[in-house]
Amino acid sequence: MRSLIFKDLALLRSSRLFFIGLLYSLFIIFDRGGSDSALGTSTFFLVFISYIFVNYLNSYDYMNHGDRFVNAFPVSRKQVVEGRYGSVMILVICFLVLSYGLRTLLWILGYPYATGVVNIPQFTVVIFAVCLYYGIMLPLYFKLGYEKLRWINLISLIIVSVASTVISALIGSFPLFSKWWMPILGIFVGWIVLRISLQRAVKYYESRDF
Amino acid sequence: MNTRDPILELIGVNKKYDGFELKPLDLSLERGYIMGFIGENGAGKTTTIKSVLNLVHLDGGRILVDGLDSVKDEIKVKEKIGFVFDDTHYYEHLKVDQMTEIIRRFYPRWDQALYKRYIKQFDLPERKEIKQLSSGMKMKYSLAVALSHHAELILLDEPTSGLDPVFRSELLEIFQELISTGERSIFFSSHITSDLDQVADYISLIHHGELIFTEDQETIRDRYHLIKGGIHQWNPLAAEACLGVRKNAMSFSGLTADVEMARKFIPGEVVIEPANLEEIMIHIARGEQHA
Repeated sequence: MRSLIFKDLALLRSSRLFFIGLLYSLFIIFDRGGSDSALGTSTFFLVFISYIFVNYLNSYDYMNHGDRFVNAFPVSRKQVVEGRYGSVMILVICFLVLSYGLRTLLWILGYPYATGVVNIPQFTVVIFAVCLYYGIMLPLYFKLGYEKLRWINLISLIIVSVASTVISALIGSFPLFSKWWMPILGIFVGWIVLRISLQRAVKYYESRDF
Repeated sequence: MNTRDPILELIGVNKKYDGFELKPLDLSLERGYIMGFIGENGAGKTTTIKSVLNLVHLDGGRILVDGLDSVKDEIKVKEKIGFVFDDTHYYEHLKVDQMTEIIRRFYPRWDQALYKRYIKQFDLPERKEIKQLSSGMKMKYSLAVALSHHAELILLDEPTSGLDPVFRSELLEIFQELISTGERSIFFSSHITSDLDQVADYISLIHHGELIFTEDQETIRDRYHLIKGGIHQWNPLAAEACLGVRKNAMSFSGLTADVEMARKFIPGEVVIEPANLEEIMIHIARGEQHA
């Protein structure tokens, strides 16, 4: 599986997308995502930026007969699916660390626009939105392939991003969502969603011919 | 390595698609030999190669590589195989060395020193992007990769199509070198039969998903003949002794594995000559089918 994740990350590193990721990180610094934030702009962008990266990998594999190529290597279908889930998770974690890390650093340094450190409700929604989005889209990708899925993919992205942005804006009114254990609960629920999704994706992918 | 087992064995391999069926196929390839797999486009060559790599699910039969089952022991089997597809599937914007960096992680037995030797031998530019390589260079690169993890079975799907004659000839020499130690075998699909005439020890012919024969080159030369004559000499009963017959307004030409029997039905002067692979393939693929 490590070789598959390495392949994905090497492909991204060699593309210009890498710079978009850095640009995103710079942009997110200016997002006033602190406790007083009314709009969870960063929630939308976090889902969106990971979508661009993952979609790039999927489309690149599609254009280069990636399914046939990768499955000719000494890997099982299960490992191919697990590899892509692993790459997605690594990307999301990198963006989370980059955005919240930079914001925290600037806040510590006293940068006037960096008002927040980690906004717990927003963080919870981001985690859950990402897990929900990929939990639905990845099994469909492994069942239908990139081409059949691209419009559904884009529409789902918009729905999930907008919904999570609205939810993260609204939950500021509910003190329960500010509890320290909410992100843990979000991660736990997201993990369950992904586990079920992974099982479905493996089943779909194992039934395909290339 | 178990030297007693054939390196590749297909036992009743069957695959059904809508409008096409790979009929139960039995094949065996020993170590140290090249088997040419010929047939017209759409005959089932690529499906067979994909089956060996477990890229398609079989509807019947099994495939053994060095005695290992291609489904149950999928990963071990794929470690023993080096593959070269008809069109390269590499990520085109990557440089050769970047692509290798990705590929080598898939193979526990990857030999970087050996890879470097092939890169030098094939004169491949490591810092060039793959899209900048010519078709021949891409093919050589695929081969370098296939050989650098000590593959025991090299699967090549139409490797010479799209290459110029000089380069094809160079590639065929490389294939012969590769099997000279007797440890490797090559399974080589092609519709360029002249390439196989030069290098293949065995030939398997597939037509409409059905294996017509699998023989060594000498047997093919001895067994298959063309019987040619004027159309007025043609006797429909002779068709029973022919694998394929081609006719025009003036003449006929029949491919037979039983010259004596065919001759009984065709009176007068006829030309009988050994058939080469191309003629065999054309008569079977495009001629009227009989015996």
